[in-house]
Amino acid sequence: CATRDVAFRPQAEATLPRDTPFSISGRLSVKADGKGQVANFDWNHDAVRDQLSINSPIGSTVARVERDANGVTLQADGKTYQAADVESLTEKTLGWPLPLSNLAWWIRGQAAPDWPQNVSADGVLHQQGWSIRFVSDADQPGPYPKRVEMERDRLSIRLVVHAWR
Amino acid sequence: AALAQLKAFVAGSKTLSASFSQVVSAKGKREEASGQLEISRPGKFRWEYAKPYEQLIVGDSKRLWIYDKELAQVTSKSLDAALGSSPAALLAGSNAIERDYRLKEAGTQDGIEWLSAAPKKSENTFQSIRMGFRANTLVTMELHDSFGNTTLIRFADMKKNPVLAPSRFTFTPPKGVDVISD
Repeated sequence: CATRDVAFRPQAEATLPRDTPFSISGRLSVKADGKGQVANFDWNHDAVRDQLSINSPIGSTVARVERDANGVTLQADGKTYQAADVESLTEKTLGWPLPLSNLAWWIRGQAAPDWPQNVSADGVLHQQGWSIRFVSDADQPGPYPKRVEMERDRLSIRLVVHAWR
Repeated sequence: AALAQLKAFVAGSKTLSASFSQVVSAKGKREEASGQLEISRPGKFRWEYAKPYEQLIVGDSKRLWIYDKELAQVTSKSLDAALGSSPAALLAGSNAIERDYRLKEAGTQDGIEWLSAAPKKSENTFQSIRMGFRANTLVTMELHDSFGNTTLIRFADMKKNPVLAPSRFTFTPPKGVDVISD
């Protein structure tokens, strides 16, 4: 059955959004000039620590990004890379910048609180140079978007989450 | 012995269909998924996840296709990247297992004879694989990677040499879904 995709409308934020921890599993695709990858992922997030594992369909981890108070590390192909922030680290090692800290808000269908932002008429959020579309399933609207589509320059990243814990 | 059962299993199933359940466990993680497997030797396979999400993996003996329905995305990779995506690539070869892995008997447990397979080339995504056989039929696989993940796959209602249409092993991207390649 073809699902009817509609724009996700976050509920009005009465109070300042709290960065509640989450642990999610889903799939992501990354595309730059027609080249790219689809992969599964697991992501454990709280205000001070992130652990993002990029996995194959059958569960083997291909790359792992870990952020904590003293910086960011990425493990892939038996090597460990380090940097101050996730964007520069992933750009250097995976070839595309992953805006992990803001993505922690976008994945929940919200704008990141400490970044300038605007929302265009079609509901697309513009923040940190990214255009972010939140897609919901008309028949099963949930607290979070079903799919997040992000575009910046010639890079597009899509994420769907199938488990929120 | 397990090695003899492997040879008999490969020789005895030019085509194959089965359902599979998959459990990926690691510290603080346990994820289940299930779906259908079809194989046509040499080199063609269809590994389709139905739950908890729909993802289709097809090896047409030249390319590997992954279609994630909710992501509305198709990826096409060279076939040698195939194993990382599905053990079906290993099972679909006529001799891929002996060619790419050092095989050793790994004992018997409750009626299942086990075989351990260590990759000859290290860049493989899995450090070790174990395959369990009963009555010349593969019943279970265990895959361990270097990040501490263990994937346990169980096969059920396995049919040997079913009639499978060639179209099962070709992939045409659905209309409106864009294709990215590696």
